[in-house]
Amino acid sequence: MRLKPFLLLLLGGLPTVKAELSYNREVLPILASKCLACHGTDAAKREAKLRLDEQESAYADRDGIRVIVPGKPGESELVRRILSHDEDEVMPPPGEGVSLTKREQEILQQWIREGARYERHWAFQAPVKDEVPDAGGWGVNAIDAFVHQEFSKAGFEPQQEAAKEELIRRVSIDLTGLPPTIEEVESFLSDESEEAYGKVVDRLLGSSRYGERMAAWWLDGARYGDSHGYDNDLENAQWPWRNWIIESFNANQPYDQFVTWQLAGDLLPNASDDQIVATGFNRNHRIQTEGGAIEEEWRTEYVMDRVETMGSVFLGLTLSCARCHDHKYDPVSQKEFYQLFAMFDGLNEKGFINNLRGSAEPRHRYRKSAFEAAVRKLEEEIPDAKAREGRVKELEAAHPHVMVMRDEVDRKAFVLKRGQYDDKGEEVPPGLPQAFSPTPADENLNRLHLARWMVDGKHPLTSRVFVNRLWEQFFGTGIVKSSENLGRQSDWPSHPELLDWLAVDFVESGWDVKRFIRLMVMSRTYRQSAVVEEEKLRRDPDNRLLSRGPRTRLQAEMLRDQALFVSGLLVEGLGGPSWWVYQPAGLWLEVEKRGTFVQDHGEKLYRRSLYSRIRRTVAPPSMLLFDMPSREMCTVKRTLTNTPLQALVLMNEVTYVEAAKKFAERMMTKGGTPAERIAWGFRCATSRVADAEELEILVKGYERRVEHYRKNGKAADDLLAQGESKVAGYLPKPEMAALATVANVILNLDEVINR
Amino acid sequence: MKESKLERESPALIEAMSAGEPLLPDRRSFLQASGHGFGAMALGSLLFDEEGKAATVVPENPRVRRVISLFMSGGPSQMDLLDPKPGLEKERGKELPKSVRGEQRITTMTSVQKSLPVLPSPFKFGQHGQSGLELSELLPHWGEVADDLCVVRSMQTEAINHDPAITFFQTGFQLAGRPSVGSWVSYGLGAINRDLPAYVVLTSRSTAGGAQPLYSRLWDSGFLPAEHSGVKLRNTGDPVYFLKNPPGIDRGVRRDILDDLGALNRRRHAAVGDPAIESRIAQYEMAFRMQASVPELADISKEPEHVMKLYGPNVGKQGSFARNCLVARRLAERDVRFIQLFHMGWDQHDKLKETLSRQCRDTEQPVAGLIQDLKQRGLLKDTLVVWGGEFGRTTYAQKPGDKAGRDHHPGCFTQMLAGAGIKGGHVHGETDDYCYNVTRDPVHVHDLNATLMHLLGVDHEKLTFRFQGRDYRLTDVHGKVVKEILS
Repeated sequence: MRLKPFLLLLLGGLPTVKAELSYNREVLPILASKCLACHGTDAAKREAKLRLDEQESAYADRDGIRVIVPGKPGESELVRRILSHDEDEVMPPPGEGVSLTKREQEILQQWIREGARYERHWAFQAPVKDEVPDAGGWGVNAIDAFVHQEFSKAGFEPQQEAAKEELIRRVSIDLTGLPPTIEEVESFLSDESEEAYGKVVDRLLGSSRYGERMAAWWLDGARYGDSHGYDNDLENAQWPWRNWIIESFNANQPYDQFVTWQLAGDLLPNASDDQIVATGFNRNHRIQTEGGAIEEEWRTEYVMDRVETMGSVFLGLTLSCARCHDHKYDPVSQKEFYQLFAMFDGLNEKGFINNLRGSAEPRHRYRKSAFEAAVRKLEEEIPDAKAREGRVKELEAAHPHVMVMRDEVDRKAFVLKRGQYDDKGEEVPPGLPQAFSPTPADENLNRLHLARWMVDGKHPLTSRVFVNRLWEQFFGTGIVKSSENLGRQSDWPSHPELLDWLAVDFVESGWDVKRFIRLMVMSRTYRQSAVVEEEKLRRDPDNRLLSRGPRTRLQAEMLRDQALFVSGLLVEGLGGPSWWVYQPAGLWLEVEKRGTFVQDHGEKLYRRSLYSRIRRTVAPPSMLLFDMPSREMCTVKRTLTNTPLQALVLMNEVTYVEAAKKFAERMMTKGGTPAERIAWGFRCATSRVADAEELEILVKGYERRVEHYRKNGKAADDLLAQGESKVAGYLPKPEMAALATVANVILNLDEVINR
Repeated sequence: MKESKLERESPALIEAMSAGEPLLPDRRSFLQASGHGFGAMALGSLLFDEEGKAATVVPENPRVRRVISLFMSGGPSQMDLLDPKPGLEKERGKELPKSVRGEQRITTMTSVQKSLPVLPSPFKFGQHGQSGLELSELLPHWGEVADDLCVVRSMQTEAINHDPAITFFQTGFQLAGRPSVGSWVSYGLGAINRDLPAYVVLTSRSTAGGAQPLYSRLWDSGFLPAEHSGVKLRNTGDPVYFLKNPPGIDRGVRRDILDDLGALNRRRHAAVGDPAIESRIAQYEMAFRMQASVPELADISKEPEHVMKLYGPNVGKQGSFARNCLVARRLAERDVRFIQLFHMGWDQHDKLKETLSRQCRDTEQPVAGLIQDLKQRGLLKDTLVVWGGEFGRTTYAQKPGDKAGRDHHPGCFTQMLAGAGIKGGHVHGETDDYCYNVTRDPVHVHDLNATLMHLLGVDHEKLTFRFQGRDYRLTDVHGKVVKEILS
């Protein structure tokens, strides 16, 4: 398959416009948004038995009338109808809320004149690895070659390589979620070998922080939270599943296995503890615990949630559209939705559990054999049951029951009319959607068949969706901007050949995730400076052509982790349960009936943010304000906003004020003049050396505020009392308070909020 | 090169492209030319309202400039407040006829009861105003503004439990994840006041304690950008999360810090050229202004006695519904686009007489006071006030004797509207003798939302946002404007 980039149409400055229209690029978007609701895939809503998304139906002779006559707009009924001034004839019909623009009318006519050629939606065709184009000497790998090809068409030159400080900060945050230390920066600066950067990348990919950073990303799609959601929203015990995710990323588990274990680990022969725990992915959905709820309504909802989440995360499809009717745009029928539903419907589970705490059945003791061995040992050591009670409780807390998949009930599945749990239609067997990739002939299909169908290397979506989502993590925007949807309504890829090349290469590599990430961060494309000239900003404001380095705001977790890290507060340690960190007073006021907020203390306050506890109906506001989803439902793509409320968080939230205080303490104990201390702090947070003017601004501010705090001793005391950690008592308070305000400035710098 | 159709037909487009101009046509003409949903084109950044804040649509003939939504969480009982059924007295204690109930489902709280006995309202009704509007004795102060009120008795909704029903009312969908109505308004029309958010939320608890919880998701922006989420003005601690400087940093020090920060960020912008840095500088300045404007708006100390009186005795209590109504008026004065008050505790499963009386004592005077206050300031002529809950309540009793209350009922319930563009002293729709089914002019939640959007000058079918490949809107694929209640 060959695709032509769409950017030609979007970006200015191009000498020519492509003469021939492409069905996928220009025509289908019009049909999809204006016509297919009544003349598309949904058989129940289809008017006049006409499908405009299928050649056969559109070309057919209907008693002498042909909707589309290739090459002949004048003879095509479609053209007559879209241009008609007669209210009864014009299409789309008035009152439907849609109409064609003049330009859209013209495109449809031109397409018919050019032969009305249909194409299969690009993402539903198997990707093909094209020959890597010649990049005229620029770049180091295939990514650079494809990217170079596109930006040169616009007449752009690439940016030079980013300064080493900018680069190591970018790649450290991208790969581990934390900035580099000054020592790491200096070691990189002093290594002048060709391999210096590659060595940094390998060190970061080998760090266990990598798994934490990747897990924080994966939790959004998997809608991981620490409570059951809905009305009562009491705590669950799913964190062992999160442990498994971190370990899996760190072990560089091949993606095909990663998918298979999560969807169907329980169905693998002699399934291990880990394989079973991995299926917790399907049980991270919310559970209804409100009195009066109707059991079957909610049990049905959970099964739907599993199907929809699977579709969004792994296939980039909005399967939810097919729960009430055939999908309007993509080839998934309502029947097929319920065939998938059948695969996720074998659990012996309840739809409603009043005031549920902990795990709902089916569940699995985390690291069961280790738990049982430890209990046995304890029984030998302490024969008295009463005396060992406390120790057993500890063991149980470290090995909670995890909600997992276990097929135990042979339920019949039905098409549910309009998606209503109590309106059963035709009975359906488990099955796979037919339109994407060959499906197994087996009669008794289950989740393991589903997983294997996705990762057999032939499915056109699995690899594309994953590489595109990872690309978005490192470049800010996916090659397909709508990373959550690669169906017919998706955005046209900025670099279609590159996306396909990467998708095929990823499968060929044995679904090697770290290798793919290394390919991205080693590329010259990624390593470019983020400096942007006016010309490029004007013509390519969103950097879709990648003629400069990616510059994006840190994600919610990274911002908090960075502040804890530079202030020396961060308490590392892989995995474990979630803890309650600082919350604004009164956050739980409206849900207080269901429990009072009790904050944790000590080291638990300073763990990486992916271990902060999430009660879904009252998720931490300082995180939500930086676009972390509340995890009530699957979210595949985070928005990146820039609001005044974010400024208030970073200025005033106790986490950041405490971090400023402890950061000041680090600066102070470094010794030297105030300017030297501040210069060290600046470098600590930005990785680079402040220039003279920058330093002057900070030092003068410091001096003004030292004066202020000398006169206002109480203010200094108050500021230094923020947060539960203490600063060393022997340090001079006015100077410490003033340094804390400098730290507050540094932690709010746009350069520090971004990477 | 062959001349293409596109080149011949779209000279402006081609010219723009060859001149190296980005394709950003004049925003208004673009909208007129595009029959497409506005949001699908991600035009958010192209449009600005009168104060220069981002907006997505240009309202057409708006009747309403701002909305005050008074959300009564839990589901107020329609037949005890606004939809009198005096005829039910003779049915007292009798089983609700099967023919009336039909196939409607009931919750598992009452489906376990052996019987569903009719419980007539224990409250008297009277006629008020020139219009003779019928109001329960629990709403004495509403009588004074009866001719401003429009009562819609034929509301219908879908869900039968609180969480899905309130989510549906707020977002047009039962499951979490879609934007709330206020977020749609913020996204569509932007803010008017540059020192305050476009969508502000206040909550108050029932003085009876214990109620269905409220959660921030109800005013969340869902898949719309987070800046359109409702900003909650809180009753304890900071009025807005993290608004206050920490102890030890006063306003002067904050200004000093921000000056340094601004100077450094401007230098960074000069070096890197990323416009996002300029925007960040602006957000910090807005945050600084909010640090002054928000406490000022929450400070009611200069409100004169005669105004305070309108809102009743509880107005002095921080966090009371009465106080929130007064703050709502102050927000309306400051042109906040969408103001939403949530009051908890309308879930009268038991002790109806006692608990509903208390609920009304806490809320009815402030509602009437708010309407009067808006009116005397000339604000009611471009403000819409909406009052109501997520569903209604059953005509049959839950629990026996003195303990009797009413269960959830989505089949019919009542909303009250007042203000700009709305007929005053008007009743719309009708329910059957049992107050169980709508018999005339049903108004679905989607219809109410469509009407609200219409009054703001927005076509609810055209304000869309593309998410996961679909153009979403507040009213899903439903909703029609209820023309009969428009003045």
